[in-house]
Amino acid sequence: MILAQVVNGLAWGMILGLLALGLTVIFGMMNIINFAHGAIYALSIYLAYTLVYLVKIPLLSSFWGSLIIVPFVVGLGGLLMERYLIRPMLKVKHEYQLLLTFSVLLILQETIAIVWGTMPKPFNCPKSLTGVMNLGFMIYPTYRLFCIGMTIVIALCLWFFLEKTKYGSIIRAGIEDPEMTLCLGINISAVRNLIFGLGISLAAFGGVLSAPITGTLSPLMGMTHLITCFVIIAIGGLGSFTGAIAGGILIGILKSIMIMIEPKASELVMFVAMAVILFVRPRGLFGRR
Amino acid sequence: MVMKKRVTNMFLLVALGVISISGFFLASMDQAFGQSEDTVYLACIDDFSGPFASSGKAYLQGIQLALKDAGYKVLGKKIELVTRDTELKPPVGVRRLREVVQKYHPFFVFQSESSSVGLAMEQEALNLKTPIFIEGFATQITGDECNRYTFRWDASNYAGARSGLAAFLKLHPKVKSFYAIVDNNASGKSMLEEQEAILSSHGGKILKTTFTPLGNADYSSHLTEALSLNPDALIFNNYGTGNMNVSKQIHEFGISKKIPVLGGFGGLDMLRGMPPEAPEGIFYGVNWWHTVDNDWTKNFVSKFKKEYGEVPSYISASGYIGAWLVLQTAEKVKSLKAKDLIIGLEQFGSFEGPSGMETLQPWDHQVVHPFILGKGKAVKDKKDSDDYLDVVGSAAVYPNTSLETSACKFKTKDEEL
Repeated sequence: MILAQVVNGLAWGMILGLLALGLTVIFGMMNIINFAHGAIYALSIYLAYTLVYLVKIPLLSSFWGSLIIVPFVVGLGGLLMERYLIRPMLKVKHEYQLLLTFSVLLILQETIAIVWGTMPKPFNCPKSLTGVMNLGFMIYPTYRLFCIGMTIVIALCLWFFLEKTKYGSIIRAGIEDPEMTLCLGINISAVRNLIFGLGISLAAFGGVLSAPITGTLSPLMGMTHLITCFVIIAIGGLGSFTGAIAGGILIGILKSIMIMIEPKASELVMFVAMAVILFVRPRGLFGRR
Repeated sequence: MVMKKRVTNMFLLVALGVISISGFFLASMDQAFGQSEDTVYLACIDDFSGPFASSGKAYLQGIQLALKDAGYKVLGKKIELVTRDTELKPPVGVRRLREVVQKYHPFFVFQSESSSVGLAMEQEALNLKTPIFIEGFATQITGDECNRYTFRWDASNYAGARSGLAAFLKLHPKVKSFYAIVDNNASGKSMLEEQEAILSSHGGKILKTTFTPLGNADYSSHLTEALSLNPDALIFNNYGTGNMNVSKQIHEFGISKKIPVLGGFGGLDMLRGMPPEAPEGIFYGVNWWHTVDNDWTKNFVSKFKKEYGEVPSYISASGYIGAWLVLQTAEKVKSLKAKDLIIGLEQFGSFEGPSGMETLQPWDHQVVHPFILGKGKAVKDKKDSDDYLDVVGSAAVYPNTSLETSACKFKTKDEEL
């Protein structure tokens, strides 16, 4: 039974880790706490819902089409958000940035409620991935296993991009020493713009990927996951994408096991874990600062 | 410069004064004209925003249809329906009730799903001596916190949980062990207590109960554990989005194909929020279902579809029947006074209602009607998009079956109404 819970915790934790990735990339590299992350996640799911169920565009009106197009479109929105909302606020106090991203969160939530209404909406699992697989010691939904694989692929791609490519080196240099990077003739504003767009795009990808399992669509759905994502990046280390995935897995497994022991404490356990880890290692499991 | 500023300030003060006076004047005019002797008021003070917004809308639609059927008239007077949003907050509900009663003196008020808002408004309705229909599930609404001004059509937690499980056990007599997933709130727990009582008399037991936060998104760990414990059946007492999510994930894990599953409280609004294949094979307890085979239902569904272009949920049926009962009583007693309406309703007895023959119990003001058990249909068997359930059973296990055993003890005498 414990092994089954560990596998389930791993699957759910990886999905949470994927959702936290975008948040940690933006925070770690731009030092901005993006409260709008949860609403962007919700907006992405609603856009995917529109594409899959409400409009008929050849090739795009499917789950797979939305998994590609929505992160791209929302990522473009992220570039605009950084250029016209975030960038003018970079020189002011952190509090103003918090207020700004919080107001974007509220605006997006209300916009979702106005455009799509407050009635909950379903989001189906793609037909090719419905059903369960027998793992020998347990049966498990095929789509959740797919999500584990997809999260691993995304995390590896992101790691490769940031650690092994020229653009990744520029981004990291821009974060470590912006002035020196500027002296080398690199457009630091463009780097920041790209990072923000990437972070937003990751939130959108995580949203669409998790839509068939994370629940029924409602305008406030992003808020629950936003809190969990903050806990995960605090545990994993602010700005560390390895930490985001590891934090997600840890939270997923702890919650799963706690449900066996004391279900009422399953929500509490993640906050206790965060407190303990921050007490022992204030920068989180993989944090550098 | 100073002079100019003073003039500007003076102008502002005068303008404000004029606006205030004209606003007051217009409000008084509105009240004076609005409350002509030929107009009487009903009020629907309900949750029109937040998580229960869809329930509020459905309930209002039911009331409006009943009023339309009556030509928006009672005793020859024009009925105007006043609406206010409780925002799902008990203090707001109480404030709105007070405001509406003071301004419009409605002869009846209606409020639907939220028990916490309903319980708060119930006490205020007593203070304001205004009769009210409250449709929350809390057993105490027509139980130990009842009062003579409050009526209810919806089944309480007691009635819903016991009736639903009784009908379920009739279909699955060999089922003895359950795994229970329950909303961690008063309603979920109260349903669980009632179900445990029924189970113990059946010789069954709950292997494990797991409490989940309201509107929880992920139930996979609970379902993984349920599969490991190998129970005979699974029961879930989750409402709203929690009900949708758990149903969806039960289907995802293939549990409803392995063991019988019972959702304590279901409804069309929740079923519409799930992927169409999710409810397949799951049993749901529902107050009413639009395919119940009786004349009232056929007539109501047809009228509702014509008016709103969709199939009604039990919440709309509840709104309709509540308003219909009030209007019928008013015509019968030829009065809109609270005292006459209350006594009239207490003497109403049995009538043809949404679930067949129904009875309004005079000693607790609860309408007793069969609670329906439906089984989720396979997508290929559905006749239309709202054809989610097959009605497979019903039961009516209510508390307060007689004046003597009733937990509801009215303290207000006829002459004090």
